[in-house]
Amino acid sequence: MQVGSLTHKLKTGKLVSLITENGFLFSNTSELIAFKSDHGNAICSIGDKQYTSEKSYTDMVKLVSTLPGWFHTASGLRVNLNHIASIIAKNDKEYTLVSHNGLKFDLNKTFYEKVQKYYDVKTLQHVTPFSLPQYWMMDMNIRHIDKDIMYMEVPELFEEFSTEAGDTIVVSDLIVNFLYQQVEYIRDGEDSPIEGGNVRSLWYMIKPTLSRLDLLDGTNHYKTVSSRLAEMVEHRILSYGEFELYEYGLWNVGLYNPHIIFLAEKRSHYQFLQQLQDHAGVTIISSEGQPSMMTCEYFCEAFKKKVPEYWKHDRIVIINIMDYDPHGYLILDTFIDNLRVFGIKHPTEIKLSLPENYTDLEIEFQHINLEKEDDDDVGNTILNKWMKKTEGINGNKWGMEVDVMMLDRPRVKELFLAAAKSWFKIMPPVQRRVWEEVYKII
Amino acid sequence: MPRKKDENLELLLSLLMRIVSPLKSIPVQTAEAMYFIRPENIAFITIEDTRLVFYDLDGNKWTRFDTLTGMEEKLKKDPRFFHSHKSYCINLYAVKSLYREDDKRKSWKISFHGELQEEAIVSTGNLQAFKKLMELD
Repeated sequence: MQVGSLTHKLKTGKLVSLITENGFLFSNTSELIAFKSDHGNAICSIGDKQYTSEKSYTDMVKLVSTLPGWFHTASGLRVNLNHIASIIAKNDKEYTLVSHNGLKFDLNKTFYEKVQKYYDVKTLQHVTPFSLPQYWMMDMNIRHIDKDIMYMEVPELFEEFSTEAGDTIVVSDLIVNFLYQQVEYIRDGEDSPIEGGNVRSLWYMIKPTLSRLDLLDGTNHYKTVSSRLAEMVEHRILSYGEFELYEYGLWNVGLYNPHIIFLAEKRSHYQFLQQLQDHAGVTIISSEGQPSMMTCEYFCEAFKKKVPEYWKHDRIVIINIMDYDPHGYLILDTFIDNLRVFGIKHPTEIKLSLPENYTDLEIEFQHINLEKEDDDDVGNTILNKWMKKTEGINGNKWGMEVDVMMLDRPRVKELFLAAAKSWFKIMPPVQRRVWEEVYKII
Repeated sequence: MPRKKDENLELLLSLLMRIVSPLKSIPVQTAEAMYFIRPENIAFITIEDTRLVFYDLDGNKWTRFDTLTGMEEKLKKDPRFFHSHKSYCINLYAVKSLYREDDKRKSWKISFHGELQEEAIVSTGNLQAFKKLMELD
């Protein structure tokens, strides 16, 4: 039996006499939230009021010493944990105990262990088991904020989002909490305010607030909205889907062999992918350079519905036509990382754009000397790592644009079918022009 | 015939049990803090979007990263909790009504005392056990 909780519920405890302006107030220890020492007196918190006890601080300590739930939490402070609703970890040494009516009390590291034991938890920093999204929310300082951020007055915004000195707004803090607040509203049953819109629509919602704070000069905060949103999605704190954003990505999940993903780096190759999808019923996607997190989320959600069980296991294959250079490899790695974020793990990966799939003539005349290529994104370190992994072409720091191979599309088709052969569930040709049917519906 | 002392104690204990759970408070996580909710204040527990969700009698909703089976294991010493459906664990002492929206539906709904508007479900398979615990048999 939790005696402390029982006495708290029944409002029974040892008698405590409190001094009022014109006499005494009689209460009991279960009604007391805490008491602190003040020149030997005990200042008691009851509800939102404070009274001096008729007993000294030392006598009050003796009075509660055997009562369950009463703990020494900081110097000259005793707290009745039956009144405590939550614990905030300020750091690993300092904690704040918050009562049901919002009063705050310190809990110092010295007294931590007894409180931890009382609650019978592994740590007071967070609940265990601990979810990664929860970890990231704490790391990004995402919190529940009652008032709609878009309608906060400037002093309120400073109070909530400024630095410790209080003179500068931390824009990133404001933006992540704005995004989280919007998704909280949606989760509570409100319609998405930007249904069918895009990330820019979210930017337009918060832009007037930043304007009121005189923060629109200099930094491009649309980028902050976009990058912080992607980060929150990556950490599974929220999803683009919850905002019902419009996603225009070039992808389509196959009907017959959806577990085979045919990936192209370039938009211009998408029509070719569609022809292959007609032929083999595979899933197709063009990353259009670096794949966007939003495209990956929408793609994965649709993919998981069509491939209900495969995606959980090691039975997905990504056959790809990327440039044979560090960029192509980076894009592919990012795409696979993004799939992992949305639950599609350990796919098998087959590259078609490899030196052995080009003719000698193509390699001799169409190669790119990567050392001479003026590319700020790919420094020597990345190039050297890529060389270590691939050996370039015959040991030279050469790459191949996949467009060279794509000049001979029947060859690419043949390479694709050969690579996919052992993966097909239904052998091609399948008799439907899937992408045309989709267009007809739209 | 007068009650025996042991019987009286047993009765007293079961009555006290209705007021306060024998279990410690359950920690739940929010973005900024660990909250502690008393088991007797929980109306029901369910799963939403892979998270364990607690609805309390004041109408609050709390989440925790855990499984329903794991939580039910932690709650098994408290007789108020009942596995009413594969996705629901309810507080029997907080149940206000049991009803079926229409004859076509197989599952029954449960409403709770307090401020809570949300409802839980009892599956057909668990209905008899539920009725027995609610002394409907």
